[in-house]
Amino acid sequence: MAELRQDAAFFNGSGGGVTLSGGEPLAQPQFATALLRQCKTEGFSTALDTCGAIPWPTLADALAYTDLVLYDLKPIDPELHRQTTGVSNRLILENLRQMDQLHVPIEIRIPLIPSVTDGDNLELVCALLKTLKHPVRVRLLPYHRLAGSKYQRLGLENRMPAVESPTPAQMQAAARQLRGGGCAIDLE
Amino acid sequence: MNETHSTLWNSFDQVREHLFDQFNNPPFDPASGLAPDELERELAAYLEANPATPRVLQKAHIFRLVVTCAQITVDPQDWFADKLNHAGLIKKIDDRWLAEAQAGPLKEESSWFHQAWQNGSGRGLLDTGHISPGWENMFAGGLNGLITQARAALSALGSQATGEQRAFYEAVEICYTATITLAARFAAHARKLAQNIPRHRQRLLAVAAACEQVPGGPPRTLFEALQFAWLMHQLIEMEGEMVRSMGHFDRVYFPYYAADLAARRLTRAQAKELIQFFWYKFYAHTQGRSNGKNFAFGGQSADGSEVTNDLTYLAMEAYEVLNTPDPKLSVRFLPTTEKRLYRRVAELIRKGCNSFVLMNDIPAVEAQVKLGIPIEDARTYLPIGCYEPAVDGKETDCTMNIVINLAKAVELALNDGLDPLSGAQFGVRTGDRRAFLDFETFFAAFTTQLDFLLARFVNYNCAHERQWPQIHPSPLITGTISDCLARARDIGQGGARYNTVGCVGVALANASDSLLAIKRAVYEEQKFSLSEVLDALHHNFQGEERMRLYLLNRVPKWGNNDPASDALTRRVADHFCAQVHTFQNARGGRVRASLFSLDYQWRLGEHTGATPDGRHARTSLAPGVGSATGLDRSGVTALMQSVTGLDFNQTPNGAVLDITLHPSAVKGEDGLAAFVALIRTFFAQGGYALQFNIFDAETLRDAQRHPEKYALLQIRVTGWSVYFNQLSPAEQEMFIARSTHGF
Repeated sequence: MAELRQDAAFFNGSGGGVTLSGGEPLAQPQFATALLRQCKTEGFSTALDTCGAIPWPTLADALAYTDLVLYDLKPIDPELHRQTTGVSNRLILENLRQMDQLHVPIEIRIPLIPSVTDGDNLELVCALLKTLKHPVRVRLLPYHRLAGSKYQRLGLENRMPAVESPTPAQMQAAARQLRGGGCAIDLE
Repeated sequence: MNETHSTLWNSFDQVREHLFDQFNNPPFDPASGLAPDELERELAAYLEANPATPRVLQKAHIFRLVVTCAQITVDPQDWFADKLNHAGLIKKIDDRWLAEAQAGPLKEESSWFHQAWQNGSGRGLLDTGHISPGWENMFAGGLNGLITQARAALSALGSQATGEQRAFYEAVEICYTATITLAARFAAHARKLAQNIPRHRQRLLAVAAACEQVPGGPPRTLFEALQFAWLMHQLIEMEGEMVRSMGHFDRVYFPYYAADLAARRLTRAQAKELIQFFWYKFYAHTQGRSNGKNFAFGGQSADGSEVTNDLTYLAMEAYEVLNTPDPKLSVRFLPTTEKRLYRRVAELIRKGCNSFVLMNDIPAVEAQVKLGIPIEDARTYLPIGCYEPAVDGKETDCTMNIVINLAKAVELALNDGLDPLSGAQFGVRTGDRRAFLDFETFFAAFTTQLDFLLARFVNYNCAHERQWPQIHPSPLITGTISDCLARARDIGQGGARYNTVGCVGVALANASDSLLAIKRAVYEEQKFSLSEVLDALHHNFQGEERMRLYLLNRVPKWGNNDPASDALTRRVADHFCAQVHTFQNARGGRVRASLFSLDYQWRLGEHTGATPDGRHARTSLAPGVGSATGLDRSGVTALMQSVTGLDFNQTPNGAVLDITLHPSAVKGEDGLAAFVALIRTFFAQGGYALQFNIFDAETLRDAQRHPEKYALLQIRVTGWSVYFNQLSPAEQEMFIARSTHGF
């Protein structure tokens, strides 16, 4: 908190605040929630950048002190999700529904990976968002390959899709597709 | 170049290329006057025949000879008349007079300055060129108005007038009369061309009419005001002073602009085009070889009311079209300045149009007031050169007469006054390494060395100032600055109401970081002895990389919002500023402190040895008032927190922070809002001035590999911008190394 307080003037000036990100901030739920709570007590706005693959009670605790959730959605199709991330997205989607019920402010973030999360996946995104009670903003993030050197340094295999970053034209097309499906969309 | 489609308006794009080359071998009309070699003989003959004439009159006469006799031409495609074939002859004579002084009465002082420059201690010189003419004084009644004032002042002296005073007034009148004659020559030439070039007849007649009105009389329109300003700029620079501010553009030119629009003499688009023609000349004239011409915007008038108006925004549109590194726009901000201006400037910088300095009016004004300038005058300040405030029309501010390397004082303190790289005993004896039993003793040695250098620089600067009337009388510009005419004194004699010398402190970060390194590693942690550190410095850390990395990484560095570093930096800054403010100059005014570096960061760094902050010998020092390159590792907000902890009410000569932001940090609407918030918060916390580069290292690397793709990429070097491709490889590397703050 001492470190965060040093930037208080900048938060005030911009209307910004503290965003917890990672990695996955709720992999350290007690610390993350305590930090968010203290931020709120001291009057800072808070945002939580999470993938949502967290048990609901843990997520709910953190939400009590979160002004905005930045929610990463990978492929909607369960099979494709498992293929690309190694885990199921059932919990992620369930949590999304729960947050929607509670009217938690959400910004959905979709990494646009050509041939993986574009095309059919975007149809599924539209369909999903239509089932929500409250409107959410969607931000499309262009896929980048900058993680390559990190994998190398950690001695891990880089199994990221070997596709190029989407071109501006591809980004615009994806945005159009989402808008056509009724989403409020921001491009990164 | 498509001449058949030339029209009166909407011609800028077609003639832009032509305008770029306008100063390369203009087609001077041989019949219009003397060729350069003939002119040179005339000037030499005059000087030979009049050796005893007071120097100010000699200057006036050679000026008169040049402007009345040199060949001229008028460009039918250009809106402004200015082409005079003066061949740099007046400058040659100026240089000769300076050389005579340096070999004679200023021999000792010049020699010491030369040494100081060679060993990286700093730079001293008689800078007669960081000046703004009194634009409004000129415009009020034209040059005829100034002649009237001169005659009235002489008349008021009656029989008490000395020979010197008479010579002064005569010189001023000669210069203005000659200038009016030159304008008449342009007008006649333009009229002649108008008869022969029907395609450009309308424009040529307009140019002729303008030159018949100004600069003899006051301008009545925006066009006349710009013609007046440009011609005087050219002539003053020819006389030998570099014009370092073109004035408060949106304050001074707004009435002409507004009147033109109201009377339907000009449309907004036409006004913008005129500004484009006017501004492009500055870039065409120097083609990136100079440090840019400063135009001020925004801020406030003498009564405190805000200036920002439609002309502010129109001018920025013109700048956006040009996107050149010259001119440079100094935008003055108040907390109440409309968001629109913040956003517009941020947006332009973000696009790469970064020829901007953003100044905070509050400390800029307060720092001047603190040194005795009345607030109404302080509010009308112009940033001179890069960011050094001077009162518009009333101040002769030699803002860069003294530049001093704060890190050199550390080096001298470590070596008992000996400069290690040059081997010269340049400083005073403050004790050898064994004498420093604690940090405070060492710090005292540092301040002693700094104070010694300062005193020398000031003293020798004063000696130079006393020779100014012999070296460089400046009647042309002098008549435009209050109160020279009333006092019958040239600017070099302290004729202005305020007569100032600026002293720039370079490398604050390196000095402070080095002091903290010694305090922490030697005295507090006792990790190394002072001897060990000193030996390592003498070997440029050869074989001592462990130590160097410790000093570099394990001791807090300035710009990271660290309390110990910040406190020590404040202490150094406070001492420096307080010490500078104890001095007077030789023209009846003060010496004023500033903290920035310009290109001295590498020009002095080249001659500075290895320093205790872990820096290698002969490498660049820190830019501006910020961190040493790359050592601001805690983000831009931490950097700003550190910097705004300094007291900028004690830097009346300016202080600037260079910020590099990653493009992703300022992208989109959110990014623009964040950028604006950053600026506003910095100012709210008391920060003095900002300039920005928005780039990422990958783009710069790509620009190195494919320069042809990046012909327009501009880097804000310091108080000016350059095309990236024009930087040397070493300089390019330096920018790539800078911390790019991003999220």
